[in-house]
Amino acid sequence: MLQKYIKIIRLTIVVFLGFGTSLGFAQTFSGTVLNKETNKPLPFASVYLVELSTGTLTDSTGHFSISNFPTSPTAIKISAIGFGTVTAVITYNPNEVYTFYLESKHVHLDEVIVSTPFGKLQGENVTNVTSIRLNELNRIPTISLSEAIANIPGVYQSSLGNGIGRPVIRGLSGTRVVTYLNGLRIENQQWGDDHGMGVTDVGMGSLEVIKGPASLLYGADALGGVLYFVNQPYAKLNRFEGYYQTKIESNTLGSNNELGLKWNTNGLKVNVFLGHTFHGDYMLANGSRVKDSRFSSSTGKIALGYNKKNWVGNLNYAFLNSFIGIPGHSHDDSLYAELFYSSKPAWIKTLPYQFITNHYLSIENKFYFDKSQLELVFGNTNNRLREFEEKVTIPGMDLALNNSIYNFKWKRELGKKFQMILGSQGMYQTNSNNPKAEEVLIPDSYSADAGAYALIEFEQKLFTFQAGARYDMRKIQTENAFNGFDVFDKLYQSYNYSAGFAYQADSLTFRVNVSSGFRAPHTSELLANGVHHGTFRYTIGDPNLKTENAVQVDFSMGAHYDHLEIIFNPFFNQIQNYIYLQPSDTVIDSYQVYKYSQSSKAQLFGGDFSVHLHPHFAHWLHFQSSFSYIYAQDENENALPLIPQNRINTQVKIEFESERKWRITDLVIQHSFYFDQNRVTSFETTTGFYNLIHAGINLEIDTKNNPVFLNLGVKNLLNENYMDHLSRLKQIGLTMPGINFYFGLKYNFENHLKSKFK
Amino acid sequence: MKKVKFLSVAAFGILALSVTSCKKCHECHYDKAGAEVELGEYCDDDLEELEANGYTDTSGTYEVHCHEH
Repeated sequence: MLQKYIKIIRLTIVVFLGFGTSLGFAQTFSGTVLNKETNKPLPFASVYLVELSTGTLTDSTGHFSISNFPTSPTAIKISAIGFGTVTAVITYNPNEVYTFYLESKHVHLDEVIVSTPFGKLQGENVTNVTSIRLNELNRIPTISLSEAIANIPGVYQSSLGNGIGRPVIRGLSGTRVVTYLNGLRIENQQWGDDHGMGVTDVGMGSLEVIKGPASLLYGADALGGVLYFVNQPYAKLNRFEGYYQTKIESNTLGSNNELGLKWNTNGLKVNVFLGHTFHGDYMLANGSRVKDSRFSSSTGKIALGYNKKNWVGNLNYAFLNSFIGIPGHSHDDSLYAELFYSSKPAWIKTLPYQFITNHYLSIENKFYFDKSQLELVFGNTNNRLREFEEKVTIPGMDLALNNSIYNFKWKRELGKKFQMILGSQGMYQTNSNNPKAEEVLIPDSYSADAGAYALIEFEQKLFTFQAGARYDMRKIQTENAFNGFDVFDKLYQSYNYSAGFAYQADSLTFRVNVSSGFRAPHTSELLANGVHHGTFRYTIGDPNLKTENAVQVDFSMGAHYDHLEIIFNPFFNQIQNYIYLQPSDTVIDSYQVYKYSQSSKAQLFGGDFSVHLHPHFAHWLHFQSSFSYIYAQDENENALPLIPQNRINTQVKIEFESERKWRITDLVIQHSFYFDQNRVTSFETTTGFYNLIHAGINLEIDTKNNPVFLNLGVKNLLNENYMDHLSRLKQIGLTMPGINFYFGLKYNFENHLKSKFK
Repeated sequence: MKKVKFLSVAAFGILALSVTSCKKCHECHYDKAGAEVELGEYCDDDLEELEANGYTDTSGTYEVHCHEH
């Protein structure tokens, strides 16, 4: 019966992706993985096909076999716990014996980067990319994805309670940060301070972060950085895999639940993920709860993958439905924290709140030829944002945003040392208001983007050089005059570039990169004229705003030894025509008026310093620490608004080895120290320093072949009553969540599936 | 294989439930002379009409506030 379903799905995907129904298969690729020091076989090493997002494990003799292996050159990644990663591009030859050697390594695991075009290892990449697996980031679980990524050096979270969080990369956020999910650009009204990220951790595998301008690769708006999320890989060949995980938190009396199911048989790969999250009002350190900080969300995701000879096709669809309370919202003239206190936990919807629906669809096709590779991605995102303030059936604001994208990329080898990429990206976006809504803050509008780029890479011994240029245009248009603004129709153009080199020796890496980025003003900055209930402001735009342009110099130096890794990564980012929101003395309808303004220049500079120690005499110990520093100023050397506090994050992980059925795998203690933020604008207040300590313990229970993972611990162990500089509740004196006990469980299951391939 | 089938059916069942809509009802009231006057439960179109037009009694029309119960 299952085979029948799989046949139907396979036929569907082939028809969807526009290809014939002749399903041919290629050869079987087999080999052995050995320990380089001992020459002994490595059982349960992962052999992963990067482009196909799937792979297999070696057996007890270190042997592996992959049927349906592509005929064209294919990137593979071989890794095992405690060993370094080996990557290779394999052009299958039936006469060749494939043996791979892994070297034991303790602190540095290089990842293949998918967010940059040449698919290099992290260390070889000329663009500075931080790659993180979500399960590593979550050794102490977080309530949301935006909270999890705020543990990455240089990355912070701007929050409005627990339900609304958005990333801040090196001091920049909102429309200056571009988010991608599996090659699809996510558009979800990022301009609003109270609009979250639109992505959850359900089914998510890894995250790559580009810090700083990256318009060469990602076009308009990639001025502050790029978040590139990648779903979990498909199941290993001819396997069914699944998991169920749940987590409960004492502070919000809430829970995150997730089910993942994966099939991979006869060349067809299917992933299904379902998730539901609900959290009540969060509890402060003083025991009171913050009214309307509750939220809930439901997520569904499906991914279909198929490959045939030199073609790889993937179809991804994701659905996200969220209810998010808006805390700290009142029409009273005098606002103070106690006004929003509540003594009882609550989960039900009470005004004001947001109701957000997102649909994300992408179709990806990759073709592999002897010396070139062609990639085509088409996608659509549909976002509906409704903010209910006074009435439960009539939204205060109701916006529908539809965005269609294409992404074309052709990669070509030019001899042994040169590679070239030509690409083009574009999108067409419509943003419309529901006429039934009480307020219309921004007009109905559409925008069209198109860009073309060329990139060349050259390798010489341990050096990799890369340079590229790009042209972009964005047209923004409204159909009607709006609240005192004429019909708007403007074309914004920009030329961007990136150039740099990376040097990678055995234990030393250097990287220097100069990159530019641009951001055309958003409709909300150009033409807003109305009340934004979510931020409790009356906002007025300026149609004469110019394009923001940024140039960043990024330098990275890393020393990677068996038991020690040190990374130093300073940057300098200068933005011309920096757009910001300036409060005025005017009040309209009891809301303070904020106007968009432009500063001729803004400078952000600083850096990250990270160390990872895994001493030889104590192999059970991992000590990781990072220091993030950001300094920002305008042309008059005045502070820029909402610049994060400098921070030291430290994690100590103690690993245990045991053969018992119930065993503790590791114990984790995290400490964060946030420095005072005293450099603030005239309309901000300073923020004091604070310490946060989290502690957790992770356990594993062996149940035949399906282990159960448990984790329990406490966040904000000292019940610190603290204020974060980027919390939007800070202005009314509402502090962040107090002590929080958590308990999590994850159950994995898997099964072999019958296959026509042996 | 039975487990695979069971989990598949369970997954799609949960998905189907999650997209099933239900009747939306709220308790409503209006403010008159400094006091809340309860109007009881209103659902769907009645609720929308009440919020859009307000509640009218002999002394005038009042804005209505509703909440989940």
